[in-house]
Amino acid sequence: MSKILLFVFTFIFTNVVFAQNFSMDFNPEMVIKYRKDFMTAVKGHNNDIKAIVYGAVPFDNHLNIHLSSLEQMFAEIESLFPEGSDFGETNAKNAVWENPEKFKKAIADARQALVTFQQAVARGDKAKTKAAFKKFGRSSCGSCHKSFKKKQN
Amino acid sequence: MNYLYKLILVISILPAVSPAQTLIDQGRYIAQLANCYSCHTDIENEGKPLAGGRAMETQFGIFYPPNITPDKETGIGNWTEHQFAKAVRSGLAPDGSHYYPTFPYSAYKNISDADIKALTAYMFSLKPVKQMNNNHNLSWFVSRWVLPIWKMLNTDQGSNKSDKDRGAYIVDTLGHCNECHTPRNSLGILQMEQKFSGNEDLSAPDISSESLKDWSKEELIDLFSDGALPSGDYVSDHMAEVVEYSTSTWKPADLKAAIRYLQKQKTN
Repeated sequence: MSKILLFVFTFIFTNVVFAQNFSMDFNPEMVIKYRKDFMTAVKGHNNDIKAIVYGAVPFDNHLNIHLSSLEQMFAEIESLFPEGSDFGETNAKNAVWENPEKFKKAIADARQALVTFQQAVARGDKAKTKAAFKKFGRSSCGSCHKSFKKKQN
Repeated sequence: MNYLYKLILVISILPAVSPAQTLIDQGRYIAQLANCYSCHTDIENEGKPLAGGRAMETQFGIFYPPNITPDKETGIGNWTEHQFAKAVRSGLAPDGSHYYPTFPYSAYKNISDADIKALTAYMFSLKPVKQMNNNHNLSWFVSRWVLPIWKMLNTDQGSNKSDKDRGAYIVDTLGHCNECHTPRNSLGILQMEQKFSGNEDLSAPDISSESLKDWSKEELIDLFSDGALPSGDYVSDHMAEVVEYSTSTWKPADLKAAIRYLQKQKTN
């Protein structure tokens, strides 16, 4: 009898633990929240780059910090949109999941636009860097938002 | 030698491009100011330019803007210049039926004769695309017979200011900014006393001078040229298309005129 009770207890306990672990692995609401915070961080780096490039702040030496951060973050964008995270408080359009190849291409284009901008920064011409920044923003964040982000008030 | 001088003189007074080509180029620019491409192209499914077929979801149902390439069977290839002008400025099809106001003819009614002429020349210079139009999929209460009444109620989109204020002409008429950024009542009538105060149903923000007062002129130029917002974010969805296919192509003087006009618009 005690063996049966032990088996039942072990069975229930392991299932509860497994269920908890599963919810820790994939909680869609948390993924959506994390994704939005991640994108806010991208926006922050972008805005800081703009402030430096436009000459609004004297932190030219920070430019590479922001650029390398964006480089690493852009590499992770695709993973932020797993199946099952397409509901609730998300600003992502269904096209992210309905047209994954197009989404992957948009991310690849954004990463290429970043490389092109990094090259412009490396050349050190301030006027050209400003123009390159505008082009970078438009063909990375702007281009992706056109097809994959809902309008917000 | 005398012959050579005459030849040089003749070449020098010849126009670099023909008048017809100039008119087509002018029309292309009018089409960009009016953003015809964005609604009449199925961008999401990589449709052919201006061949229609894009699904536009609204509270009244799904509209499919038509093919406006000069294909004789499926487009506007058999239309006269007069019919084209009437469609754009009055929302009337050649058969006399009324277009639904997803086509912003209540804004386009003030397009000048010269601009309509150029736009017609451009449209009819395009390569015809044979593509059948989709039927709209609308709510039961939406019908064409109510449109004459609707048109009478929705007349107040500002007077023809094209001669007085270039910015007003670009923003109110060609750019048809009121269509999204001015609220509507339950009948879809624009509430012009709240001009540019935003339309929540379309997630279109307030763009009255009060809401733009903290924006610098350079920030507004960045918005219309690149879609960049002062926060570091970028516009999305339909406004991103407006930037890509329309405002980013505006001539600097037109962009400045439009910004000047927006900055002085006050909501009552």
